[in-house]
Amino acid sequence: MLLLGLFYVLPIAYSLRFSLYDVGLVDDVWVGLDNYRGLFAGKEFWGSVRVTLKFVAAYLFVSMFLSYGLALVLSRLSKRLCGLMLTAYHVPAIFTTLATVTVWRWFYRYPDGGLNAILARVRLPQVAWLGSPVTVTWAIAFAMVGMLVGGPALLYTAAIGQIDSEIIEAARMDGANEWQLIRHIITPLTHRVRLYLLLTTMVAALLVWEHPFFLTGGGPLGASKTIMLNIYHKGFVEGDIGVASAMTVVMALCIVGLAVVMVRRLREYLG
Amino acid sequence: MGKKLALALSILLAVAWILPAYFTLQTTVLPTFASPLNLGNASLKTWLDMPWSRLTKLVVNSAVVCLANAALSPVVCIMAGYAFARYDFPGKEQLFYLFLVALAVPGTMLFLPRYLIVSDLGWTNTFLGIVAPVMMNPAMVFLSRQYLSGIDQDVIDAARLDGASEFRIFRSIILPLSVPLLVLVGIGAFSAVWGDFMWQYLVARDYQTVTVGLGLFILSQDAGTQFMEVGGPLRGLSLESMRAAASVIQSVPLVLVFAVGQKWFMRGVRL
Repeated sequence: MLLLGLFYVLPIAYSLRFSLYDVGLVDDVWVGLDNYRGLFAGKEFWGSVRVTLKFVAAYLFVSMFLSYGLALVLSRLSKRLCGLMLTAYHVPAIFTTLATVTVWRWFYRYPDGGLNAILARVRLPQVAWLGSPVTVTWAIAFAMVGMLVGGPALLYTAAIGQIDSEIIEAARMDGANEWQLIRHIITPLTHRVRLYLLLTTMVAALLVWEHPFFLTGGGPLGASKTIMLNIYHKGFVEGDIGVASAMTVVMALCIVGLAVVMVRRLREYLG
Repeated sequence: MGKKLALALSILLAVAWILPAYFTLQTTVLPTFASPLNLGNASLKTWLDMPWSRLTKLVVNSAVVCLANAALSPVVCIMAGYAFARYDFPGKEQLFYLFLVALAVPGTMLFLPRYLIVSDLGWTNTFLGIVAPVMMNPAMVFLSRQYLSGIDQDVIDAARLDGASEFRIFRSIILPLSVPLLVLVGIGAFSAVWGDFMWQYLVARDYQTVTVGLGLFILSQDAGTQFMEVGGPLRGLSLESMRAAASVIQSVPLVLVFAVGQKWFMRGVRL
């Protein structure tokens, strides 16, 4: 509980305080809500919000559809094979961001990286995947898909495995086809996992930091600068603790709001 | 959907998923990047000639912080989880939902205020500074609570009637029954710190506390060559190969932990 206080409650208090000051080396000057005003008026903050929302969309797609589809496929396999496959899908998540980032940098390199080499072979124009503001976020998100699939797929598979096989047999007897089985039996019975994942993936997406940091450093022109990266830049590079704290507070509030809504739903399921 | 189709599909995906990791492995035995099937001049040169003293220090540092966290985090988290699962105290319900909110406001997001606190405590560049903030993990407390709620209350009541103290109950009944949980939390704590980058990047300052993840970051930049040269002559090794080798070194414990952990995961999670 002490740890909780020290590293959860106190930081929030710190952020709140600093967000109201212009933090200097010697003295902090009270500036009231100026940090927030500057934040909301500036284009930079909203730019990073937009970038972050793109990651949220990508993350949700992966955890809600891709991983679930995969788990449905895997649940057909024998237990042994299923475990083996899950291990394979987990490989990108085990290898840390840094371990594979070199590969991705090479993959996206302009004009002779792996992806562009493929494009050249089918006579399509080369694209500077990480150099163009249009493609950069999606390119980074794509590099993360591999890492994101494994965990949710594991949870879904576990949840599907826990469904009483009698229920499925009974439905089959009643003449339910595969699609009906998935739609009306398996999907509702795995809602608990889905709700949990919905919250955790959204939050995880709000925290995207490492991939853009390593791949582009937030560029070009801030086109891949997520909120987290923005906080880091403001606080540690530009030394503007006040504005960075204001951003932390805004983020925390958003996440808490999100959590309160989700936890209400989750509570219904946990009983 | 037939079993064979499911199998084919999942194998195909598994191959794609393993590819980046394979590339990394391949680069450790080749002078530089090459196409996946090009293993003509593979050799173990990188592994044999690398200045190992540099990397050993990093591995030792990482091992210290990770093992410390793996030992302490389960104790802290399970005790908190137990309190939520088994005791009735005023405001428990509210506290638990507050906790779920804390679960949503992830520690990583609070990196800036946490950093300010750790530096106020004078813990920057110490192992304590690296471990203390991550020890209490709300997600793990939540899992603990779910798991411990599943333990039969009658057993506990019986023990209480027989005059067992609360501590005795915790030690002799709860702990033996929650071995899967302990292992799960421990494994999670270990790999979270081993694979973490951001927090260590902020806290660790010099070679004394630099971990594997940070070493890898140094290697991912051009300064990596100088970093390795301090440990001994490079004997014509490319930065790319050394980087890949360091990636593999970082990944091995995580792979092992996952291989062991997967079995425990299925037993330790009750959703």
